[in-house]
Amino acid sequence: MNTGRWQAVREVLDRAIDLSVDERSGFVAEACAGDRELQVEVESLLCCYEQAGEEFLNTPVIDVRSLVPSAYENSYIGCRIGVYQIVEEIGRGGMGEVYRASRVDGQFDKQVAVKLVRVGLETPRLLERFYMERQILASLDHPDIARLYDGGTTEAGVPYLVMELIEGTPLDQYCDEHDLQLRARLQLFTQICAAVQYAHQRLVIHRDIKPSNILVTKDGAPKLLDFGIAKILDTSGSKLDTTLYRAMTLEYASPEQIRGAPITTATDIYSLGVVLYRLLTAKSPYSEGTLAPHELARSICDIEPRRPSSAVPGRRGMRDGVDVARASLGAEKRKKQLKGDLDNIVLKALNKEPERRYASAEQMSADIRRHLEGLPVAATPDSVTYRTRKFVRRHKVGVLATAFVLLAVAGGVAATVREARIASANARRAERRFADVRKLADSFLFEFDDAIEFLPGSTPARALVVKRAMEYLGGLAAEAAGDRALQMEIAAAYKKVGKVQGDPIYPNLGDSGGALDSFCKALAILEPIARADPGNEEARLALASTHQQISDVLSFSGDTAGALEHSRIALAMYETSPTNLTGDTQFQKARTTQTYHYANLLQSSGALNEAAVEYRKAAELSRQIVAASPSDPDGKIHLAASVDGLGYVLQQTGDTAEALDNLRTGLNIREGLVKVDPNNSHYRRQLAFSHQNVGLSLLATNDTAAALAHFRQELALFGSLNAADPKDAQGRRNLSLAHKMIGDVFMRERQFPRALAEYEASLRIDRDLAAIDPNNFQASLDLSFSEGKVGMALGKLGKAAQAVNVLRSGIARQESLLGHDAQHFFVYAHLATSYSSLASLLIERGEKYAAIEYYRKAVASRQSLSKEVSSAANQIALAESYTNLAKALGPANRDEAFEESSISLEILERLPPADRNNARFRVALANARFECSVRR
Amino acid sequence: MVAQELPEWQNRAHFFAVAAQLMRQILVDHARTRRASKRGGDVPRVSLDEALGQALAPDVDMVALDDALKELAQMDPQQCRVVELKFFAGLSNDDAAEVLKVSPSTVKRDWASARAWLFRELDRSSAP
Repeated sequence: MNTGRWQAVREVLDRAIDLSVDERSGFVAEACAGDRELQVEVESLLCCYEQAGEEFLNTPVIDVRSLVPSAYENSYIGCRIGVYQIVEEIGRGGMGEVYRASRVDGQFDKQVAVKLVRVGLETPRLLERFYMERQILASLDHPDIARLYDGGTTEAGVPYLVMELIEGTPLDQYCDEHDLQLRARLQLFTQICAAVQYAHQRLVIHRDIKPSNILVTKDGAPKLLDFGIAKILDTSGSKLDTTLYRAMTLEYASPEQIRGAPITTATDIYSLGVVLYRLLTAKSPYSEGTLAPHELARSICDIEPRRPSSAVPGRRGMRDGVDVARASLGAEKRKKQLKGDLDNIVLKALNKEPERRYASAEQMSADIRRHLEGLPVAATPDSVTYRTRKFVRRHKVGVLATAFVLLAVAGGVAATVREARIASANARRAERRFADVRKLADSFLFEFDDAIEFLPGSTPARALVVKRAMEYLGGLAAEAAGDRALQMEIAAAYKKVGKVQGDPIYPNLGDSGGALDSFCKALAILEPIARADPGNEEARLALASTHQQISDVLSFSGDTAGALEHSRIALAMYETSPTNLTGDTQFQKARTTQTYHYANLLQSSGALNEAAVEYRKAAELSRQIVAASPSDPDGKIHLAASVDGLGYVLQQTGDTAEALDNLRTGLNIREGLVKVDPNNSHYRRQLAFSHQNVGLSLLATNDTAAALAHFRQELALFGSLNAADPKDAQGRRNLSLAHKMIGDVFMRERQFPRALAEYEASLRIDRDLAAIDPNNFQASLDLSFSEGKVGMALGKLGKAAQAVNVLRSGIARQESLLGHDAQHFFVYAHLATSYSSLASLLIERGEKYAAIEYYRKAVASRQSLSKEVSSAANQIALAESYTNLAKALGPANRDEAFEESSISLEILERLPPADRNNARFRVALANARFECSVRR
Repeated sequence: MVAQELPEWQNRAHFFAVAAQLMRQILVDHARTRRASKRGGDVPRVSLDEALGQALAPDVDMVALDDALKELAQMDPQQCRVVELKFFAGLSNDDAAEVLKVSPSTVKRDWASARAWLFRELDRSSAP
């Protein structure tokens, strides 16, 4: 059916569809006015419309809306970023948003533009580069370049830049709105050249010059925005670097940008050429209308631009609005004005070969000035076209190939596939298609996810993106047999999904089962590769890190034995790696991290002495890294973590002085890191933990005031971090822990109402978190702790009935966790404490027999714990619980009471002298002796 | 005050437009390969079938649909794009209207008559 006929059919069909079924046939007969053929056609289609019903094509194959980063909907309005309060949004795009903002501290009256950047800068190296480039850009001080004032990362880790707020109009729009004549346009352009020249002399390349990046203020002064921003946001490194980003600013992009060749100042000259072209002709150098991105990319690399004079529309071509010709005395006059010098100047700037363009913006500007003064210009036709043709001919194949690589991700897949279908046989086509799907999946998975990972509130969107991409990759896995590179890629993808699902180390969705599943899929792919090729370091290290990820998840799910096993395997892979011999820093860092992880697990499984040994190893490895590269923060980060861990273990083994020493070392290192990089949320989080550790250690030495000061600093740090990303489960847990710490101090100080307030704040958070992920061992344990603490505070405040209820709830929770994993010894310790607390409350309420039962349970729990971990602290605690039981049994059960207190005494007296030199031991001993003597 | 622009996906509409075309291309290409391999007795690629063919595509003959869409594009290119956006990308009338820069009621009309026409074409192609 041809277009005309179809339109005629639709005339009738469209209206008929809107009518009820009964009205249709009458209407169609009338509307077709005797055209029998038309009537039959419409009736046939109406019949099909009915048959198609609701279902036909109404179930889409995919809902791409679910793939759009929710960030498009996010808004920072009203939020505080650094010292700036966000006022309103003034622009947005795929890379992030730009907001108008003002300083909260009122230091300056001036408003600024804050650009939030939607790219992941997750590694310290990329962040470091971001800060370094920012320094360079901040040093650009030119009246026609918008200043970069500041930059950093938000609490949630989103990088942002603070820039001069420019009130103005984009260059092309300004010229049209003000009906600027040719001379005025050229003069304005030379001013822009001067600003570009200034930046080039300071070795800063803009990389994205286009009219919308050049605003003209009310006073008619041009202001260049975003100088060099493109580079500091280009974090992809050697990755197919790209493409998405470049393709979208295609119109002003140079051939070398499209080919991925090195960017120089000549790149900006080219873009200036396109801008000038547009100012003079209102056209793109390559086409009348709009080209599809892949066609445009090809033209930029391949096609010689039309001379500006021939791009000016003739009289018939003149149209409304944007046409510059309308503003001048007419197209013919403009043609004449452009012919010759200006043609040559523009085409010289647009040369495909960077070295054939103007050597500087100043030279281009000088040529324009010479033209304005009627002097001969340096640009000649010869320097332009001849060379260009030659160049393109010489590079044709490469140019085309690179353009296709570029386009495959950026929306040109269709074009690539079409070409492939025409050009090649079935086998090659299948290969191509396969590559396309893989690329698409990859770009969904990595580029989109990376882009939104650090956005607050982006976690659900990440899950969807990842899930969708996994559907493709799941299909590819079976086809990947024998293709190692693809297998590694798929394994990496599984690891990434697992991380989003439930890697407890990162912000995650709390789906630990799904995470484990994904990590195991990665293992299943990596293990055969590593086995078949023992020298494949990449596979080996990917395998090691997968084992550690599994270990992390298992550990958080309460499977300590499994977690230890996987961590041990991972560490062994590092320790036996041939890379140890080369002293590679990256490797040393990874090995240190692994050693630390293992130490950490040993510690939480109760193997304190072994943990201390591993922590000392990790600290030693870190010191070597710091010594080798003192300016690298990584070494310090590792060292701080290791000494913290060591300090914490020493605390538990009773080596209080050495513990405090190590923990203070950790705190100092972390304070130094925050001082250097105050906006880094990770550093601030770690500093908060350091305060916690030092506070706890001080508490052990009874320096309550100093401890409280540290806990307060901890709470403040966690509070501000949580405010920035309220959905992050880990962040909320940290805040809850901080409340607990402070509550503990108040309990010691007998300030019970204040303690209760802190514990209740903690309880509220823990309840929410446990409800979100009911299978999460840690979340349940946390909740049981806060219940226990609230119960104790209530008890102290005389609210015994309430207290008993809350304590019972906490105990029931801990008992269920015990069944969940008998290896988790520490639950016994917590349970014993909970039993004792409840028992002592019951005594106060006169429920003596119930109390005795709970003291017995406390003793049993302590025994179970001591069997596994026979530290001095546990022995003392066991003795204490026997004494408590004896005390509760009292005169009414004198014989049994005597027996229990004797056991207590015996346990204490068996302890070696080294473990006796502390207050807790002395109090326990005195109590046991007293009970023993009165029950004898 | 004018927006200080940012590059990359210009906006949601642009993303949708690209995604819809990609989905069509991938699904149809896949369906064609599958058809070819069934005829040629090639090794069946079961998992990819599952991932792309069955998991994503409802009960529609992709190859026939693609052929019909090519013809529809000749008759009315905009109607073809409406089908791409709604069927291959799951867009609502409002979203599709935003992409095509037309009113939602135009999208609704285009969609209704396109469905009627496509139904007939696919019906024909499946007839023996």
